[in-house]
Amino acid sequence: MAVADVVISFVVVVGIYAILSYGLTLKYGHTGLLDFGHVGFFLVGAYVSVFFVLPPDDPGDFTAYVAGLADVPVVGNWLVGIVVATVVAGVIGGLVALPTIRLREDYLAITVLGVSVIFQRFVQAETWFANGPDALRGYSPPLKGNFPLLLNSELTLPVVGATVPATPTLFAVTAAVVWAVALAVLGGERDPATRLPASSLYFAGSFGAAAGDLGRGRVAAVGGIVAGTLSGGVLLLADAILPAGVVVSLFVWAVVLVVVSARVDRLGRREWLAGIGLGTGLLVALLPIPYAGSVAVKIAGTLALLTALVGGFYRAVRTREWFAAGKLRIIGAGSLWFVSVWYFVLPLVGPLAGGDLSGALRTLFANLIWALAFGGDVGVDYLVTGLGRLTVRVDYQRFLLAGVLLFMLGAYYLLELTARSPFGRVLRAVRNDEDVVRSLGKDPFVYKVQSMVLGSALGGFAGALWAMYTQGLTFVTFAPRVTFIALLIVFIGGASNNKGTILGAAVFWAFQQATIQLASFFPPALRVNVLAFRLAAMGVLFLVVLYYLPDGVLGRADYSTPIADGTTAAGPRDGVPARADGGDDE
Amino acid sequence: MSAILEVEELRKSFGGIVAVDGATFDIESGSITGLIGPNGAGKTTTFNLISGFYEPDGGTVRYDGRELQDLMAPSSDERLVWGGASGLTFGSLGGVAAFGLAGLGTAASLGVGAVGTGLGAGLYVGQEAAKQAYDGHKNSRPFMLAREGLARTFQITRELGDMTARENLMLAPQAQSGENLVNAWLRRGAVAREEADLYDRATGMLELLEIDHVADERAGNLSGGQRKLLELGRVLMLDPQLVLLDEPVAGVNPALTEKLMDRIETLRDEGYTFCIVEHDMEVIMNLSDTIVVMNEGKKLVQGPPEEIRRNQRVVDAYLGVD
Repeated sequence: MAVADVVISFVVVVGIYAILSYGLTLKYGHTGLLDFGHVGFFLVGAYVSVFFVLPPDDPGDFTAYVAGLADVPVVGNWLVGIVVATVVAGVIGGLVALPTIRLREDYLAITVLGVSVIFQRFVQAETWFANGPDALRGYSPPLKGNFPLLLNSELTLPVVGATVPATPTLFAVTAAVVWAVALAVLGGERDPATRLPASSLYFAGSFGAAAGDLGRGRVAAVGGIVAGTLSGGVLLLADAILPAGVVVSLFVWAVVLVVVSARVDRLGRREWLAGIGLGTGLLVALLPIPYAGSVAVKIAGTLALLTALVGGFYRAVRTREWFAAGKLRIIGAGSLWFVSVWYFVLPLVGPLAGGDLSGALRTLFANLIWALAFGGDVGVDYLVTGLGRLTVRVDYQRFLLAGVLLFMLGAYYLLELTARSPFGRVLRAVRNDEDVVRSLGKDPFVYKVQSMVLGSALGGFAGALWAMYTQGLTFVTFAPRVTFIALLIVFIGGASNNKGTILGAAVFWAFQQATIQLASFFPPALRVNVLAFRLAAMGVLFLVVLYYLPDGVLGRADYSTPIADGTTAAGPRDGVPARADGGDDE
Repeated sequence: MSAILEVEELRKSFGGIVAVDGATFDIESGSITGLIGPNGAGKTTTFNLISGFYEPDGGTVRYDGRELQDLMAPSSDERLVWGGASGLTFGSLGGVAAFGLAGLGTAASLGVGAVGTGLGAGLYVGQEAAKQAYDGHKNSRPFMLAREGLARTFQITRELGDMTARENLMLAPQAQSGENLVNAWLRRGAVAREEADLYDRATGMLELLEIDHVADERAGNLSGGQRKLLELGRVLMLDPQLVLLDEPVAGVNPALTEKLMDRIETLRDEGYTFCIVEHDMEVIMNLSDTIVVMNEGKKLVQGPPEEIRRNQRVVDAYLGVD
């Protein structure tokens, strides 16, 4: 499996958890409601959506569940399932809120925690409801049957009923979404006055739509639709998956480069070098794990090197003022460096050491053209000069990635819209002081219930996506632990910072992913212990964040301006310590 | 002139301490009424009672001829909406469960649904009663009074620390369409125009109070005096009829105090009514049309400033020897 595949499934999980955590960002970050039972709504969303895509229960087999609506026309599909799951989770959130929301913060937290455990126990104990303690399976994600995209299969559109060629349609949809998301991100970076590459790339990527005075969202939509139509057309006329995939992949890389270089501009040379040193140091510190022979050396060596690295970082923070001032940016640069090396260089070490130059080139190519999956038995074959024969396909993960990215950005947009409206202003006021809100003629109760409904609906939406992603549900997945993971994610990025939630989800899952990879270098008997150790490490991570970064990595966000402006009018603010140490990445 | 607020035999005790013990006084419409008295005389408790934040143990307060308790009670529409929503949710859940899960017939399911509806509505009524018991002496619906034009400030400033000074002010005005989530999402143009107006109004208010240089500063970073001004500005943004000000100029510099007094007098002439608790005698004597002196939870005396200054009982209880 190429590294690109690992990253894609990583981004899918990050997206789903970001949406889940957005529920808590709204409830806790914006409104101040400490909901320790958020996982309950995740559960509701997951199970409700699944009932819409399960076939009717067969009393003769070993599984039992209360409803299977897959055979019902119009209703029995994922689209309806997800919508209903979201609505039901929101309604249940409101019902839970009605009696509990008047409680003080800590009582509310405990009560709602209890509610979420009741939900979990219900699923576990009531065997007729969703197969009890055993896994609930037997459904497949939407359109899964059409992947990998390579055959000239047909696709029947739901509702419309027309059949269209599957491959061009699905590829066009995937390409359109990825393209639009990249454009939207680029649109946020663009500053027509100073950054020429960003502007021209934006103009080209939007096929000229950026020339008019359309908003950022519309430009992204137009660009995405044009890109999707073009790639679909190309696939319809010629079997050109590889060229189309190359164009999409390279466009996204170009956007990534522009975004990264905009960040690099803000870093001084010595900060940049310190970051590279930090990233390389981490790489070196992890070397004993794959290369040392004995387990003792693996653990002791890595721990010693990591201690030295953290010690050196700490010392630099204490002695060098510029280092202390930019420590978060230095860590960012270091992470970027580390990830780049991990993504592009490390996969080449194996083939190169074996003297397989073309194998190394193929690996590099596969990681670069991330929009396509390479290798395997099935796929479209291409003969490329210098690389030899390539088997190419578009797998289901990439399609899922497009969907989850779209939903995550949708949730982000919704939260921005909410936070920057007068409604969001009342929510923040409720978080600060309910009595003041009362004295100004507004009923805090009404706003808290609405926040609870909307946040729970987001949790339910994430649950439906999770059900789709995992293709099977058990009650164990919905332990209270998930709430605290979501809370950690919210805290990492900054409790009331909408961008921070995405960053938090990425940081948390990067940590999980890294430990899984490292654990694979240990003997099988020890792997379980290494993975169990992660929970303890997660607790430490929580403590470090709360102690050293009470406002999160990105700090407080300023939502005092409406989203229509497109700009946040906040200038640098003196005297706010949380911002002074680098949390100004807004 | 008529009384906009009539306080009659108002009583409130906390544990063994009787904070307000049968206070009776009126506030004339379009006047500035000063409320003074030694520490512990019950001024702030009186404020909390007449602004609806506390529930009185006895006595009545009438605002604009109507009793506060009636003003604050949920309207029948509100009861109907919440009770109905609660009833319908339980009813439909029960009906669906009976039909789909338990496999009962249509008639029986409808019956279960009806019982569920009654149960849900009953639950709403029950939790309203439980809320009354739980909240104890605190009334949870004082926002109804602000909507009717009776607004207050707090003695210890209650600025919204995470929000900017300007946001603190923009929060206050009533009936903002963007406070409805549907409008905030779907009618952004109209909301944005409204916000632009509010922005200008808030800026004007900040200029008036001479704190416009900290408009975009977080309110938690402001100095004590600036917070006082912000609190005053916030309540004025409500455009109320009767403003209860709890020590509005404590910690504000003399020049600005002068300005504020002018401003309050101007507003009074425009028809606003003020009731002010203040320990600065010069301010209260110059500003007030009428002064109510409280002592040990009772009204000691009420009258124009000159009279109060000469009153022997007031001098003994509060003013001391000049």
